[in-house]
Amino acid sequence: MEKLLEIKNLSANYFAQDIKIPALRSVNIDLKKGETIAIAGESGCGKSTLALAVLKLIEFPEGEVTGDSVEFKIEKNSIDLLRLKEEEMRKIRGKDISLVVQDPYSSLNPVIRINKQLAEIYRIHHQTCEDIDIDGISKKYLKMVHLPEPQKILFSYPHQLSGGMLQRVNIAAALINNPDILISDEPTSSLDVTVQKKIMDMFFELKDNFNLSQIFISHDLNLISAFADRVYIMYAGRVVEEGKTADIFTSPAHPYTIALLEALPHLNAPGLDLKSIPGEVPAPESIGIGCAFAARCSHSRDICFNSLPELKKINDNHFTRCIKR
Amino acid sequence: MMKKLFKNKMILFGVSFTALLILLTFIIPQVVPLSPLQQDLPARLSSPGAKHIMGTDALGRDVFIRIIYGARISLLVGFVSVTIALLIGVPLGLLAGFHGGWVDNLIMRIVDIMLCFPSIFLILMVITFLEPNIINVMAVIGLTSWPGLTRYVRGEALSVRKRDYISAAKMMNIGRVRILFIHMLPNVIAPVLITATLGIGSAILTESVLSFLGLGVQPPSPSWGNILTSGKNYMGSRAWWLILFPAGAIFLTVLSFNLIGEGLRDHLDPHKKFLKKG
Amino acid sequence: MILEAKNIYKTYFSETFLGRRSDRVKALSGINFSVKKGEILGLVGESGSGKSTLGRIICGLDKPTGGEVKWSGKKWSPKKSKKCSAQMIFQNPAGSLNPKLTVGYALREALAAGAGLRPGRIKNDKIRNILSKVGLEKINIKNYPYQFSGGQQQRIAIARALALKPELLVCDEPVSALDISIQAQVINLIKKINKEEGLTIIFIAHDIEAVNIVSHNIIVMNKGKIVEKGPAGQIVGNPENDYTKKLISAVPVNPYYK
Repeated sequence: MEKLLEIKNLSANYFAQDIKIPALRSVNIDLKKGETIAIAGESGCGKSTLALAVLKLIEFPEGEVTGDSVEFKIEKNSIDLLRLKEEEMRKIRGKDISLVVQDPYSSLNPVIRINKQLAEIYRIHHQTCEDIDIDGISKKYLKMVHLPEPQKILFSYPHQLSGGMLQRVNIAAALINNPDILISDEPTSSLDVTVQKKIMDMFFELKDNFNLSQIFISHDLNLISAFADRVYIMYAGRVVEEGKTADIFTSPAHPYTIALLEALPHLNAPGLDLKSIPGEVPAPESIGIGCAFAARCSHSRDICFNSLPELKKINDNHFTRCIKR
Repeated sequence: MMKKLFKNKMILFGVSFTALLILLTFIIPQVVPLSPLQQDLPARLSSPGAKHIMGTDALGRDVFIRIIYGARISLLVGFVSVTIALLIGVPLGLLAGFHGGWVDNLIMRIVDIMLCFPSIFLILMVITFLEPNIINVMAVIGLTSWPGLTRYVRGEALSVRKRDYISAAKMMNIGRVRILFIHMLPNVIAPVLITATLGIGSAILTESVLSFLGLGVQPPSPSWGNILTSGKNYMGSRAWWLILFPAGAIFLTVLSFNLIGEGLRDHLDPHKKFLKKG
Repeated sequence: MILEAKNIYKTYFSETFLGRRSDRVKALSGINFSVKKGEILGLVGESGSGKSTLGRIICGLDKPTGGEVKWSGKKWSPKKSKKCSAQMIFQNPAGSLNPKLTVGYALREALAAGAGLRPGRIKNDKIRNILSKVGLEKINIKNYPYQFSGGQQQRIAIARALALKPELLVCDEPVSALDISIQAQVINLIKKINKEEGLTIIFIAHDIEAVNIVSHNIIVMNKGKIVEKGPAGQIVGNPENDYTKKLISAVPVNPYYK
């Protein structure tokens, strides 16, 4: 299958009080057409930074994005997002690549009705003088995300809707310009489980019916296991393991992935003692040259601390960054 | 900590100027034998020069020496009146924020009433009944400037009161006074000190205005307001030094305290600190 | 029975300008349950279920509008006995420790409150001793909370609660702010405290997987009411109530888990 997005050696740093905080370190990720990939990891692993870096939403003085290239295939052309000017990038954001973030409350303007906000997103990318029925288009997308009574919701203010409904509106807003890629950053983490279930059902539908390519960012491995085609496991700003979902969950290769899977509680294993990972996630500015997980790893040797392990191939799709393999 | 503070140019300027001023008020009287009241009649209204670096006034008194002695009064008024305001305003604000209910209502309604009057009006009213002298000026400025602090502290205390560590302290059955002063005060005091620093500047300004109107420190004691008053008859004539230097002293001092306050605010602003993302 | 909650109601009123009450929100309506000594009781429910309000009422931080909480058959009121028999662990570990006090000071204060002494009479060994119960014997007690990670802060909060020798520990979403790898540390610690110290624990969470791992018995709450209660295995394996079934079926399942 054709690669739609190819991220090569992407890094991102934040600047805070004279120090540089490396949040993303030389990450390589690719997304094929129609594929759903998941980026998994704990807080501080750089998964949200990745979403912002791809869309170039990290700017001076907050931080910087560096790297080799972010190749994006659009109508047979290939453009490098990393070298794109801000005006050009603005044409891609929300049109070809759109983003849904975790907090549904803060991503909509509280004093503007939903219809105006959806219309704005549509109009920015469709500059025509023709009279178009924008509310009709918005309604179509609100129906697509299974919102009941789209007419009523269109004329509501955000505070009149629940968190789950708002997140659906956000997803509708992300889809309204028919993007090629949908990036969702923890889209269900602030919602209740029963609401999460409904939203996830909708994500499955988008995946099956619309041939949308998705980057799904989440800390919830159980959620990912059922949803993604391929998974990238991140730790301290680097991808430590990547592979088909089945491979990652049935034969995890990196000690971190293995430990993470053992630390997860499962419904059908009550009373079982969970295996915990000793120690803490290191602060990004204090990570040395070696493997960032070495200090918490039961297999680590001297070499782990002194040099970064190469990416090793397990099968055609399954790679890991560990000397054990 | 201090090093980081002084990296902020505003704080550096403010603190340096204030420190210099305080230092001068101690050194100059030791080194220069002139008193602020000493008249050099032959050299009346002489312009700034080698003998009198800031010139002399209509009675031949050295303007520089008067400004330095005046600084003592101005700084004293600034610090003492703000301390009075803090001593009243902070405990009342903490109590209102922590206790809530009728205590909060009572305290805040008093604050509202106080804030209804322009404070300078209130001060003028009180001073006209009292004898205008430095003690009364400090007391009156202090007693009229606490309501703003109280309102501010109460706002902070309201947000701190809901924190889990206060709940935890309540469950330990820690006494109310201890919760107020050990658990709440340190968490509200930093922004309050910023407001207080800005308050020093405005207290100095108020004192100058009062003295200028003849209701503050009484002549011949040299206060910056007094020096300006004695110079006001020469405004527009060639004796510009009688206005420029005392006005400049007031301006720079108030500016210094405001810059320290602003600098501290920038320094303590949590939004400007760490930025970490997942 | 160490604790009995009888017919607890909690209604929130929003007060208007003149102090008139309007707009009632029923947070809890008619809650009845009891806790046996030494058990871990899981309270599970979604946002708005009233589970946290119930936890705060048990700890004496909120007053119920109706009903009462009885400790070993006796009614507790803050005026009669000074220290509450229940202590609480909060969701946000950073917010539950006073940022301006060192960890040593916070623990010293708690130990003193637990023993009815002045803080100055508490020796450092006692602080070390209580920290060793949560696996943090090596930390520098002169550090401030922000110098510790989320998992360490949560364990310090647990140590502080233990210092007060409570009869019951209420943990309100103790792991939902923590990362997966740290969650397991804290969950295991809570189970260990229950086993080794025999401490009775109420574990409140929105996450039925975590509740299931920890608890002996589970209470499922929805909209201020208890919809089902029973042994953990039964609730999860064989739920009767429709809401419980919905809650359990909504949990994402890993199809590759053996």
